[in-house]
Amino acid sequence: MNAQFKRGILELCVLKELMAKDMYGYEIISEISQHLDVNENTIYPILRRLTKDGYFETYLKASDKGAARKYYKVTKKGYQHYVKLRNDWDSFIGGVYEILNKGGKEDAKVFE
Amino acid sequence: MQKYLSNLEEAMKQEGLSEEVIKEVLSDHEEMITAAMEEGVQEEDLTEKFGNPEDIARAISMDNIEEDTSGEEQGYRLLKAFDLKGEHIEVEGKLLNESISFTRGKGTGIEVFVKDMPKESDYTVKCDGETLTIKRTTKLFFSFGQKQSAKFRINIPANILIKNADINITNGKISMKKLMSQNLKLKTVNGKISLKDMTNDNDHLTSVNGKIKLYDVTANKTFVSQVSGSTKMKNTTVQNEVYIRSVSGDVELKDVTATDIEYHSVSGSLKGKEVYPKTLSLKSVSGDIYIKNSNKEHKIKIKNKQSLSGKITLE
Repeated sequence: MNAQFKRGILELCVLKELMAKDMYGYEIISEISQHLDVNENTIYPILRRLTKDGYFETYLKASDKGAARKYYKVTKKGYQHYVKLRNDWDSFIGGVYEILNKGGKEDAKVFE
Repeated sequence: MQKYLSNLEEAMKQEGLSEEVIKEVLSDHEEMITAAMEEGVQEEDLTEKFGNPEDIARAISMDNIEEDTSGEEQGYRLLKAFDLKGEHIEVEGKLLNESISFTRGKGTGIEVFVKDMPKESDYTVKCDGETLTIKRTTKLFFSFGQKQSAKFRINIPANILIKNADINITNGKISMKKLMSQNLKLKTVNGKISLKDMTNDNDHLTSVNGKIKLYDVTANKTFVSQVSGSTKMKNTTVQNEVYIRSVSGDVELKDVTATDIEYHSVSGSLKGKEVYPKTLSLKSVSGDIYIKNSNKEHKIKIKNKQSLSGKITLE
């Protein structure tokens, strides 16, 4: 898959996860890798970049194990970005399905 | 964990990242790895889980370049902005020791930023809506003490195709990022050429002494010619052929897919990892060639394999 395209989708997933609640780095990574086959090193640069772009804020909070963890929180700008990405994605995937489902699912016949 | 972190630190230093960034990334990773290990992730799985330190360093370094590009805060100032007539542009560039970088911009027109430009009258920067021209109009006389040379940064809108780009620079760097192009003809004598995240048709890259880098590029045909500079290609897919001609420069390929790869060198070496062409042709006089692929199912047809005194290893 095109690297850029994949990154856009992952960006959307990271934003969505953080809309529900603030999370720390590894928590986000393990959440997403439950659903998608992603390597952690693809998620980390996204967190870093979205923070730089002002879509997330970070704060430190002590964990029950003692060490402080960096939590990520979506900002208003991040929310607006999410809405835009989500709309783009919906219209893209809608278009893809319109193409794939043209004439019903009859692909199997082609090679018969 | 310490070993992983020190590898990561080393990789980031190699990429030339700032101390501040290195410190931040290390502390983030220390925290993430600690959390992962608390959940039972083992030391030996760290690379698999968190990725190869080199890849992380590269991803961060690439993101940092991207941050530079928006850059007025880096000392760039907007020189000129142009409206576009159609969906594509032509680019002509002829410079001496200036650097030029193109990237995807957010606006609808072309923006030309500059930095360290002593005299604006030395240059022609114009665009008639279809052709962007950046040229040095005065000759550079041998001048003492003039260490700085101008840097151009050009933003091109996302939907615009670069139909033809013909850029020729003597000592400066040419870089392009996140753009679409049809015919690229980039040439430098001593400067670097770097393409990142590009969708291209035909690439024709020539550098005498500079490095050539292609990361995350999709192209139809790629032709690289170098004398003593080195070439690196990573995560690159070429529909048809990749042709690399080198005199003494070394070539490194990683995750490269193509129909046909042809490598022709005098004394340069070729190192490849996960290189999957349909056909491969290797020729060298004294350079060593070493290619290692993990997918043994993928059969490569060797069209040509010859070296006079170099060693060729394919595994």
